Amino acid sequence: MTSDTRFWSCLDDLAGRPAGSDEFAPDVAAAIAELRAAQGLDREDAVDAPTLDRWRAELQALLPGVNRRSFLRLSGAAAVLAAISGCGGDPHPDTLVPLAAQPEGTTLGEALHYATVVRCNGAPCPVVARCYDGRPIKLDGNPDHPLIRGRSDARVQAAVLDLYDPDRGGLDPAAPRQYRDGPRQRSGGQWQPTGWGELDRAVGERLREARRILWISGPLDGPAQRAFVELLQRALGERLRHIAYHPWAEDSAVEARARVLGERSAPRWHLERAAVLVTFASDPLAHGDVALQAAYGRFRRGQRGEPGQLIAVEPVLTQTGSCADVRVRAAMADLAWVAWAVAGEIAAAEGAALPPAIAAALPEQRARLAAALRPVAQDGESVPAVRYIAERLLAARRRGALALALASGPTHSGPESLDLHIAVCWLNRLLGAEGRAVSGAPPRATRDGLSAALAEDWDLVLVSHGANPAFDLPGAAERLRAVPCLVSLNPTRDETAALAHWQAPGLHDLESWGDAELAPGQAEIQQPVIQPLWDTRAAEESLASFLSAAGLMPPELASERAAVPAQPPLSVVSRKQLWQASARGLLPWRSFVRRVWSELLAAQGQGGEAAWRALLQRGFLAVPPRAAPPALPHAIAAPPAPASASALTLVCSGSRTVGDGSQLNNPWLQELPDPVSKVCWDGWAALSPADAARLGVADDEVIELAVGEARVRLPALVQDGQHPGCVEVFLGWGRSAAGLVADITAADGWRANAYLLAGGQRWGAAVTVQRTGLRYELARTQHHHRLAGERVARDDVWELHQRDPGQQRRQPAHHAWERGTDGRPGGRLSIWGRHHTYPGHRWGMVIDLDLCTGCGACIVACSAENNVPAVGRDEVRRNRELHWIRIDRYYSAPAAEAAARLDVAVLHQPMLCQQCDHAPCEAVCPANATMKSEEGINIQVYNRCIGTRYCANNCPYKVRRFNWYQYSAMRAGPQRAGEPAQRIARNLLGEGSAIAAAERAHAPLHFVLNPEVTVRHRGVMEKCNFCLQRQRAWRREEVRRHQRLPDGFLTTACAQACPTEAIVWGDLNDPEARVSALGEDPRAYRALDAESNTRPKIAYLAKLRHRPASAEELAALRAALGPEAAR
Amino acid sequence: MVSGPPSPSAASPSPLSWLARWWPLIVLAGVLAVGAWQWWWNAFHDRGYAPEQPIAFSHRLHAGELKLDCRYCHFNAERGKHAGIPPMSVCMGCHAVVASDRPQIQRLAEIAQQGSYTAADGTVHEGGVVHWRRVHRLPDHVYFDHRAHVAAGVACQTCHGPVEEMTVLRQFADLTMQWCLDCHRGTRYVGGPGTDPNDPTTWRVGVADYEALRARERRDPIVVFHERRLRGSAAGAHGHGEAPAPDAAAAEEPAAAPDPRLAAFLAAHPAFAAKVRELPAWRAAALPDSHRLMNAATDCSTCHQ
Repeated sequence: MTSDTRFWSCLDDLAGRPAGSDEFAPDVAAAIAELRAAQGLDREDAVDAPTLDRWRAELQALLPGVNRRSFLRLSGAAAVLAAISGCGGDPHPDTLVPLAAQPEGTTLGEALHYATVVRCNGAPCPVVARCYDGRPIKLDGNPDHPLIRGRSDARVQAAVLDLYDPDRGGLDPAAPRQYRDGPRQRSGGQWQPTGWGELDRAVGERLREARRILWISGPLDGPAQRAFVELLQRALGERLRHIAYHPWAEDSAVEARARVLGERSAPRWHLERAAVLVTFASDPLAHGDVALQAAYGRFRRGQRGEPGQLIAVEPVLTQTGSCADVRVRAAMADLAWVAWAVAGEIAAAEGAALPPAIAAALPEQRARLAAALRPVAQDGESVPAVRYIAERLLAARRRGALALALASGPTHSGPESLDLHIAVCWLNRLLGAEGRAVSGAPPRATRDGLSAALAEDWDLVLVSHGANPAFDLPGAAERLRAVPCLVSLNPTRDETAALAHWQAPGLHDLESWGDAELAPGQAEIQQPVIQPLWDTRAAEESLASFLSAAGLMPPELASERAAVPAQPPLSVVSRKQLWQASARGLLPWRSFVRRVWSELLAAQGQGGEAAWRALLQRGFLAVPPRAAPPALPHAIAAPPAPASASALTLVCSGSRTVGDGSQLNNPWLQELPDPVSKVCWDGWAALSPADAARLGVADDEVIELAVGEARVRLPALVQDGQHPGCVEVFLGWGRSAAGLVADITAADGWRANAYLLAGGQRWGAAVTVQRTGLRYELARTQHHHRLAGERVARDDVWELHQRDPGQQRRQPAHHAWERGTDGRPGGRLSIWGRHHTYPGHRWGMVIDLDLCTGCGACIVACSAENNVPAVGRDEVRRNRELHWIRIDRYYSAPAAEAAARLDVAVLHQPMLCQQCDHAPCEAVCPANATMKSEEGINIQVYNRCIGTRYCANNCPYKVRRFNWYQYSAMRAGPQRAGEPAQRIARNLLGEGSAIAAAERAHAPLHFVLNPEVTVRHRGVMEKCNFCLQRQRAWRREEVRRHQRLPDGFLTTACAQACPTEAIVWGDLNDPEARVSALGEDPRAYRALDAESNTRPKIAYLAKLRHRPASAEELAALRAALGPEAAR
Repeated sequence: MVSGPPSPSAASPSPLSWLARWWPLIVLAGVLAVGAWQWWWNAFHDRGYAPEQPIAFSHRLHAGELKLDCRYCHFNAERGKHAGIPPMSVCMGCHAVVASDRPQIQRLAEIAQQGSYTAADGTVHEGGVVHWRRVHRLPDHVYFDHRAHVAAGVACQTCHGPVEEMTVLRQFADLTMQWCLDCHRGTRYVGGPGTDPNDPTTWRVGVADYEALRARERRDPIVVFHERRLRGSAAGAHGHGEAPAPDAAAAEEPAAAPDPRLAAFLAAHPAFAAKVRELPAWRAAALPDSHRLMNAATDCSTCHQ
């Protein structure tokens, strides 16, 4: 980076406007008011006098005789009265409820860990669930699993909240404690509760008579799941067709591999084996499973000291592209030809051949691409992008390393991507990556298969395991509506269940037995970690019960009829008696799973109870890999030459936060800012800065997209780095029956469902953009908490870093601190006469910006561990998000190109409390509520905090968060709908929202709270404390064992979750600890330390960009080191 | 009579006359002050709180007269942060047989059997367990760990008072922060004053002057039991079945030699007697006093999970 590099996080930065993060800064407030008035969108603030009078009158009616002064007086009196009433009568009205019998091996209040599996985005993730007193509160990757290694991502972290989703029980906010769970029947447009017996009889009858039965399930890949499918297939014969469906299924990749390699398999990428990776408009970091994200960490760490190089060729700025070293902007339609052009260069160098149709058309296309793609500057000259990529791939080949090309993800799942997949597959074969850095696995699911099947007529359709085609498959809703009998076995009441005739609610992954096969040769067992919360039963048991009622039950599913126990198990929340298979002579699903796995174990010479228990404890097993079915290789046709249309085309990407949409009702994921755009709580349409300027569209303006017949409205966002000519929308948003959280967020949002646009074509559809003149403020976090002063997020070029590793240490030391002395080496001025000494532990952290992908796993993990509630869209708009850790995203570009905002480099920086030795917050607290612990942690004492917020104002990192409301009692923040008078009264009376009231009544959401962490009250400040509860656990264990514990015994939630292990936490006093060693890395620097003398305990490692250095950068290096050293 | 200047006495009334004039206010202020103090004290000190429990359980009977080890029922205290209310299985382990003719025990058995019961206020409680009224309560932000305190040898009575004398359990200490600090002012811990970070043996949680504290408190059956066992093992004997050391505290304890009540119990419950006979001799001899109420329905694993 040279001095003329521009660096910005939002438009204010780029325009050189001061940080507008403080909503009370008068000039900013004035500017906001002016803008609001100018836009005419001021619904709240600019109110005419009569309205104001009316509101006053209403408030008077609600709280009679109250003006401002008497209100204050009254509230003081209310506090006293509350205290008096609190001490009179019963001081502790609560009861203590013991267990009937304490299960073996449990201790009250101590966590137990169970290995199981959850599925997110259709892919399984082996996890370990931490359970307190029988309720799981936190999921983390299985540390023993060779592909997962304890890693997880945001969706896996949030999955535990889906389990406790009150909407699964049909909770009605208006009538708390009245649960509408259990099986239901639709009759006359109304849902009527029914019994399991009636349901079984009715569906069984249909099953007996139906000629054509379609069973649509989510991906079913575990050994027991496959065995169950086979069993059903045998029992029903030709009448049944089973389709494992997922909206992101990579049908075209499977087809491409069939044509090129002759096997019907889905690609499995082994990034860790590659030294150079080229991605084609793909986002494996956002849409890949946890194993793939973890593999990226190992890829980036590199082999033999050289970090892996990531080259992204893409039109839209993906999360992977934001981490890329070299990013080549290209139109979506050009991608296949870019891949073929690179393959052509490699084929020429290696003397290999291309398919004849390609070879014929390539020269023309190559010339076209040379003009269309921006060249890469290398050693002072411009190298065409295609040649640069080919050279990098060949260079890796020459030094014996693997190079890999990658195309995957929801954008490339449709037939329009077939050409690209064929080109990438061919390229990988040329590179020798096929079979080594990419391998084939039997496809987990299909999308086209279901589209084709739904075109036929079916007598009975069963939907299970989270498949939701009515939401995410175009045309499916109409076809399913026409089915004579549709039965939903899904755990949630989704869009497909809304069309069903019968609902037989299934179990969440954490309540159910099951299994999975993450990769060929690696199978995982899934065990329940909690009794069903609602009156539900496993989908497999429902299916078996239907078969039994139809008189078609296969003998394998029969079992001894067991007596109903005297105290049958009840559902945890609704206290209804659970349906039991064994009482009806059916084999319980658990027994079926165990039978299949016992056979697997027996095949490996293990048997008996001990082996089964060991398996459950471990969670996975190596099994013989399955072979993918063969296919006939095909002639390769040339992709069409892109039409030179100037029109805009649509690109549908998967949501990087809420995933495929199945987790849309999850407030943790809704509030997670998107890694690139930092938008949360809404979907949006991203435009290129060039297109936006042409159309006159600015951020937050609602635009109307016309795709074919369909018209949808979405708020626009001008996305830096996006190629002109495309409009990006996100799959996963816009559900109509996801639940209350999705509903209240959609209430004033825009429910556009990108899945249904363009008939399911994921890119390439022509789209026209029309301005509507409406404005809609997207909740964006990047311009909140902006940091001023010296640059806090730093990067370096790998090539230069090799020659000058000490660059980070030469950051400007322009302050008087350095001249002062406090008796420490390199002494600095201290306002504390004597430093705190931390002779025991001194906890610190190192964050490697080179490994950070901005994914947000740390944010959700922190929310789960530390009981951080979601605050809702309105509160986020007011800078009030409560996350203890945030990820700042910065763009940079040479000054000449910054204004165009097209070619940007991106930097992600996790920002959390730096636990400063010289903490500015401590000095200003009048209540001594924030202070240093004896282990160097800047702790926040909640019961001392009086909410002055001085500390937050004085924090240079802007990491302190204030509880403006009792967020913990609300599901998604205070509800702001309705007139202000009602709002004020409701929030003052502590009601929050109707949803909150319902939840206080009895909903299971509070089960997710971590009992080790205080639930904060309204009016107190909170912040990261390096997971204080885990430090305490560490110390308790040390005291118990009377010895120091090794590094890595425990770590913080963020470090534990991080998929790439970018965060390392440990004891700085332990010279053996990783955190101590990494803190000495030449890339290490401490944010704002030189400027504010805060002495943070977090060290950042500057990002290394593995790209050719520019002429200016080389000149700067020469100036710094002298011409000799710089050579 | 000519009115002169006011007399000196009238200009400076004696303190007594001032008192005579203002005494109602002073008394009122005094009453208010005392009342405020009382209110303040009551608002934040729940000492003496003794709610009526759904089953009239007597700690005096169980811990006092029968000398049951506290951890027989509150076995969680030395393993976790919560002392825990004993599971119904522990209650019924004994009371399936013992005192099964008492009305309170019959109610207990009824609750355990029927799976739900209706409390006095009409609430229906499910789960086949008694919903006890909570007596001790710490604020939400306090992290208290029973295990650490039991491991450090703090007697139950130090915080919970003479439970073995309470027919109705009441809160003994006020559980204020000051009360915590009364002990913890002298705490030594990792990184605290007086610890050597390189010497793990100095890393201790506990009060510095523990001996003085111990001398102040009442004899806790647990502590006595523990000490006896420690002394026994130190003497190279097989646990605490051996003769106690000549110590005033231990001398108060019943001898571990055959207890007539235990003998009678074993005679009445042959199944349990058989169970005891199956144990290795040294373990049978080492069965503490508190275990004499075990019966045929109880197993070691009932409590020692």
